[in-house]
Amino acid sequence: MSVLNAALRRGELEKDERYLTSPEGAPLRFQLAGRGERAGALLIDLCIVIAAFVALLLLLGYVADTVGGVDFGFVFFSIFSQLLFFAMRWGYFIAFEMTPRAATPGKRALKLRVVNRDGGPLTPEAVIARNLTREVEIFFPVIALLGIGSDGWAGLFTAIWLCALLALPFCNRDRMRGGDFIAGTWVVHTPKPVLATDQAAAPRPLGGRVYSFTSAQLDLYGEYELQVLEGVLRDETQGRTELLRDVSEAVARKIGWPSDIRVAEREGFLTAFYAAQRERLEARRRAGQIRADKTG
Amino acid sequence: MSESDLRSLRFRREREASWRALEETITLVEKKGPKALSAQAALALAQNYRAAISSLSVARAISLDLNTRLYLEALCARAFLIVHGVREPLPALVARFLGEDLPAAIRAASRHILLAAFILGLGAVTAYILTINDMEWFSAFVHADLAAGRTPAASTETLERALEGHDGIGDLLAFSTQLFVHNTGVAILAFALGVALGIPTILLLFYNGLMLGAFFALYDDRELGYELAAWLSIHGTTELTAIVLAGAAGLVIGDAVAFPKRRARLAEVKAAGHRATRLMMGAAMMLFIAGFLEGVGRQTIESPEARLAVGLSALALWLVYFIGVGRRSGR
Repeated sequence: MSVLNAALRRGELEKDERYLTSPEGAPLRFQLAGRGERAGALLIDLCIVIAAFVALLLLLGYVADTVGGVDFGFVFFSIFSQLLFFAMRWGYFIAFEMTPRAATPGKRALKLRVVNRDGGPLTPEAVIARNLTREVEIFFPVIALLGIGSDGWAGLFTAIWLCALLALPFCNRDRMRGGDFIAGTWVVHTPKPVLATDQAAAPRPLGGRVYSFTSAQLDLYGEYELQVLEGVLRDETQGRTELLRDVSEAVARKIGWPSDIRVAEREGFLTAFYAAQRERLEARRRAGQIRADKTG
Repeated sequence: MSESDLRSLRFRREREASWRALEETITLVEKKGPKALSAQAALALAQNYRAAISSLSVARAISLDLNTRLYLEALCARAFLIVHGVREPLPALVARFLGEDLPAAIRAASRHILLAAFILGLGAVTAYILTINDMEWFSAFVHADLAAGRTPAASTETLERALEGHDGIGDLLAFSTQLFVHNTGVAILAFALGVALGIPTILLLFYNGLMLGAFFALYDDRELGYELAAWLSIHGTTELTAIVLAGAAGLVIGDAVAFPKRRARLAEVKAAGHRATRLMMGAAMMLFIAGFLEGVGRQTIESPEARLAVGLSALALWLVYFIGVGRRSGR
């Protein structure tokens, strides 16, 4: 926990991100799935399971009706409907989470997956453990409430039990439910790598000026501002023109830029400033002087 | 200052090709599975993965291009999931489980198993003593649906007939399936309730014991105790052992939640969860076998002596398996 707190304070991790140490010893960043997202994925899965169960049950009934005699049909239906219920309740979740994608269709729809918290592979035991626990978290209490009804001591106890277990993901920072605790897993977003061009390598706009900045001018801002500027330069949305205007005016004012910057020159100015600022900050970083932001 | 002076740019230019190659390979594996890779491609994957990890640590240190850093974080994370997510083929997995993991887990949890067996036995003895002295206790211990007509109000003939039964093969299989599904549900409940410090598990075991004891008292009262024992033993030895295992699994978890010993509670619970799951899988397997034994054996084997023989030899085989199989030499 203290390692996590230190990383959060240093700004290396966002609030819902965690490090997972690979077997090579490299710390890899993952983003925890939101509680709402997980509930949504479960809802989708339950819909699929119930729909599939009903459909297969009807199919079984049809087969039992048409093939063989009355006795055979009854026995056939009796055996396979029970096995089907068993498979739908347990087999669905366990089978899908044991695939390399480690996600049920509901989770896949929301681009989530299960990972082993300790950085090892996701073992079959972990998958089974985390899914069997769902029995007491959801299935059993719900069925009990439907059966016993919500009156009497048993109903009250069951309701409290259900609320306590459903509240568990809200009571710990890693958003783990009972099954995650026992299996040692997290549910995370599937990482999506997208590589764009480097802004410092962007070609100069045609006919643009060459800008140069003094060291004093480049020492005013820190890494945080640099990354904000990078975001501005990558921005492709509607408000781009206004954004470029505001940012170029703010930068020019801060560094004391002597002349006004014309509309057509704004992008060239900011790109040049970005490249220069980045080189300055990277050089200082290599020398061990990390400047986090303009107040640092 | 020209662009090429920027070290982070040079670094990216040098390495970008291998990152792109890695990205393509992992997309291919995600779509088509690991078999889609040739031996050469698999080797390249391993090399590119390590190169990407090293690029990541370099980028974290020297590069201020946020996009490149985020890209490398995501790339390495995704590649890690592919490279380290490969599993043993299923037959080897099953063989290892049955041959080593399960017996070892059972031996390691021996104290919990004995405790679970004790609680079950305690419930049985308690119910027996109470019921044999006053039949009114029977309805307190056994739910009417479960009794299925075998109550103190029934005649001795009804009870005796329940021990025999001449159903067709289809009914037997249906009955086996029903039992397996029901009993596995109870076992899973015993396991999962271990989260609550094992207390509900203890109650569940005790309750099952009560039912058993009450039934024994009912039948013993009518001088049918021996027959009942024989009737139950065919599958009962396996089934009761399975329930004890499932109860022990719940207790293992409850123990880890309540009394973490060497490690932090979280790590202890996780390790306990793994051990307990193995016990559970063993219990499920035993319940499947018990269901089969019950459905078929109970109806086809008639004499009490033969039934007892089957039941006791099954128990002996299980004990040999638990205690003997998978031991490393020199232990």
